[in-house]
Amino acid sequence: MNRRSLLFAAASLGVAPAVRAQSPWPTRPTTIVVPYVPGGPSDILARTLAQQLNARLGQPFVVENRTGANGAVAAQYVARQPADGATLFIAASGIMTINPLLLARAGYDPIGDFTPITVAISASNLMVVNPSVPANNLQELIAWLRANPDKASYGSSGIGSSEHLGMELFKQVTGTEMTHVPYPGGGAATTDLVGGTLQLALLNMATVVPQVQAGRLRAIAVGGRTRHPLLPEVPTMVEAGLPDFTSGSWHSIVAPRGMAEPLATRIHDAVTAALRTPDVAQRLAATGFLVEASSRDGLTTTIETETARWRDVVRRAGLAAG
Amino acid sequence: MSDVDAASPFDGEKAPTSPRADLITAAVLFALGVAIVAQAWQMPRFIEQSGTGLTAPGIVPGFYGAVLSLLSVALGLRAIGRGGWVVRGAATGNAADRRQLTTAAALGLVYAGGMVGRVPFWLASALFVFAFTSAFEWDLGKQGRVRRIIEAALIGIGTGVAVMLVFEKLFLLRLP
Amino acid sequence: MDALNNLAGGFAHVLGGGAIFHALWATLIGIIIGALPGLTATMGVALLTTLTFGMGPDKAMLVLICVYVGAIYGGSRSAILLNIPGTPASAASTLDGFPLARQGLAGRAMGISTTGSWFGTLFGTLILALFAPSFGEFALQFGSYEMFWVALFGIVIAGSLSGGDALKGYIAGFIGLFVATIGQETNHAYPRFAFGNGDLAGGLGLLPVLVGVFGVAEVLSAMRGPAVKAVSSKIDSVIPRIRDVTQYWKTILRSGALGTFIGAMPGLGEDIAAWTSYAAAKRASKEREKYGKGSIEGLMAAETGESACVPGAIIPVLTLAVPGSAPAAVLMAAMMIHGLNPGPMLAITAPEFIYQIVAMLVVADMVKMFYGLVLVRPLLWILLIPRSRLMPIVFVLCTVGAFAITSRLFDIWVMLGAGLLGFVLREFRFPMAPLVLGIVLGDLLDKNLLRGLVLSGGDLTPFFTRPISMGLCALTLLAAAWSIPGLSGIFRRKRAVA
Repeated sequence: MNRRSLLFAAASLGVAPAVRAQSPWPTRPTTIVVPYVPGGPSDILARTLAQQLNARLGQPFVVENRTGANGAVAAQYVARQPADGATLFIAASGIMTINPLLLARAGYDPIGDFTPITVAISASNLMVVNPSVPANNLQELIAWLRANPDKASYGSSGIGSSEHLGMELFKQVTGTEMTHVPYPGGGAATTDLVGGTLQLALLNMATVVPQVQAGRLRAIAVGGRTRHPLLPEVPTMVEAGLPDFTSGSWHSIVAPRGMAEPLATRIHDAVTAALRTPDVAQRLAATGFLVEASSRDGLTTTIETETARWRDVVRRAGLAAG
Repeated sequence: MSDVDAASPFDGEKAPTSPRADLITAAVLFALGVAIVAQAWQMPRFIEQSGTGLTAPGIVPGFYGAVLSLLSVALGLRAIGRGGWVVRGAATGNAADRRQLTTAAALGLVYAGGMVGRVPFWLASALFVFAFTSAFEWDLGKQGRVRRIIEAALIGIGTGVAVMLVFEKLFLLRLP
Repeated sequence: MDALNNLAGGFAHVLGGGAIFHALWATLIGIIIGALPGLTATMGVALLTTLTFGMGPDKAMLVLICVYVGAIYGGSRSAILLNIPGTPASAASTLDGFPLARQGLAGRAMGISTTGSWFGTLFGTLILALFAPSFGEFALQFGSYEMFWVALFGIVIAGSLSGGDALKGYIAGFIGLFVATIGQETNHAYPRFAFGNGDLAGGLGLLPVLVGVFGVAEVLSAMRGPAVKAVSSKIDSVIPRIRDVTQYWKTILRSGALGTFIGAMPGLGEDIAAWTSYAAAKRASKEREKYGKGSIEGLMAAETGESACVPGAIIPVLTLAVPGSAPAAVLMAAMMIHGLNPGPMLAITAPEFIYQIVAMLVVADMVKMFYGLVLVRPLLWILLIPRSRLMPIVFVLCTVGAFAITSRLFDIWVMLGAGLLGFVLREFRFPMAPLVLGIVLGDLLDKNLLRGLVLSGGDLTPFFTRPISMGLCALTLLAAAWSIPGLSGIFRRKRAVA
């Protein structure tokens, strides 16, 4: 055996782990777990990603809907899976930040039980009022609410939704009082808002934009950091005079905890590349979502800062189950 | 329309239950109704949060439980009117009947409650179909039994594989 | 004339480039998904949404609408042949469809179902084409208060569905209503009857319960007793009869109108459309005693109602961006993905799209009719399979169906439990229809009552004073009075005199 082949052997030994890290996905199909029923935003995101990743990596991706307990069922399931790349999870913002604050035993830890991949997409909530409410901007709305304490009702897509907590935060910073009416989804709340049984709501952009465009609802302010391309004339909450006020939802991708760095990085790169495909971005934008494709640390930071903020809101609103 | 007017051959199925059977069901349903009411009563009322007692979670189920109890009392009274405890119905089914029923129920329980989720789904389904078919075709006599059992095995494997292909590959669903 | 031109334009647009081919395979997939117990139209549309990502928006919509129309129709195949509704929408079709099949008239029953369903979708599509905007506006008037009355009205008229023993029918109905209250309630998320169990706190799904009380209970019933010989189908005809249509044209029109209307209301879907059409037909019928024993009119009513609901549910999607049913919600999501922005702006930004949807619905309906004629014979072979071989396969499919929607083993347990309970209740002559209807309506009633009370701050008056509420309340009271035997006799005599 000459030196050269020895070198080669040594080199290949050294390279071997890297090669394994380069082709880390197991041969079995990768399952993308969706915590809600088919048809919703998480499901659409998962199926769009599955199709893209399938085409890019030549590896089968299967979407699996595991519903129940506001996503806790799916989160607990994913937390128990091996971190070998065969399981990915579409973790909505509520699952990663709000649920653990509201439920006595959520059964999972958003930071400790998962390997962060990326904040995939985000959507702003929009403050809308029924046209019968005599308020054309945020200041008028706050004044009207203060003049009519406990007269107004607001709708949300459920207890613990970003729309519910966003409005509770709004109540706390503006010192207003109104009744919360939870609905099984944003669509049902919109119906009652247009019909006039509700006076206002902070609802997902995509749900209410058609009604705003048709003049059935009046847009007051956007909960995002920037104005929304669909309604460029509507100011953000911050512009309208509420410093630091944001409200919206996002969907992140996570894997079970303890995933090897190279594999997590590779998944991050593949997923964000898929999300940035113009076709995918355009389709998701049509459903009201903006592609974020954040860094892995970006997801951890988002979870930590939002959890801290909502913990305070939940405590002051007296919502925690104990 | 005459073909529909023809007496249904299944009138026997609609035969009323015996008063004794009705009394037993009435007692069970009464207990269920009372238990529902008791549970509903113990639920929190959320009067402080809502400012009204009307949205207490227990009201609606409590009402259902109360109506269920009342209806079961009505069922019991009617059964007493029809002769009460002493009137037993004609024995429902014979021993063979009961055996078949138990076999079907037991196989179903072992399959859906025991094997599914532990054994690969296609294998569990194949075994279940095979066991079910051969159990019920065993009684058809010795002649052709081997052939029937081979057929049952083939149907079992066919079902397992077909279900896996159709649901996992075509419909992209996950199987237990 | 303008509308006609637009419609012609819609057809010309839709029918180009292999559209018929897509319509053919998509409708067939829909029928298969619908016929498999547990796989619903919602799921079918969701699955096909993924598969049609790559297609152009027109083709993708055509495929999804064909799947939707096909699945609602397909659910009745298993309801008629096996007494197991393939989707919740077809539960009402078991009441008369299966008795017809047992009398050796399975072919004719499927023919009735095909014609009823065909007319239903066509009727609904016509309403969609002509009155979509005003229909949508009206649906918007139904808030929580009104929905409460709709549910209560449904429960009151459901008493007439029980067939023989009304008392047992009501008991079964209240068991169903109770089952619907299990799990978290809407206002405070308090888990009722969960006993600390996380799965129970989520409530019992309609689907696993339905698959249990019909599917599992039917397998058990079928396996007891001596084997029933396959009924000869000599007297049976597989071609739909003109006379069935001419004789029951009133039922078809009534069910079509009811189905479309219920479809247009957000929150009410095909299942309620079928039940309501069936109950209304029974109430108006001259041959009420045949209902539940193989009434052609009853089957026709259920089928027309559920199929008219499909275009009905699309109406608010197009005019309000509010889906009228669960499958329509997924369809709406798919429209958004493909950049077709449904909603109030559609009439301004893309008015031709509404006519394209109309054309797609008509194409789907025609293809459905085609399969209705072609598939009868092959489907009848199912009846010739010995029960010892058919029933285990049915059981396997039920298990898959119960599991498929949520991927929880808990749902298989729910199916088994509901199946055993359903079997025992059936043995004691409790009808299953009010039980299932109780679960469907109980959810609606409970949520809307509690929500209405929060909206009004605990005040009951809006339930009676809002105009539509008032009307619905009167209708409910009238229906309740009608169910009391003595009173209805007076009504009927009066009508006879008049």
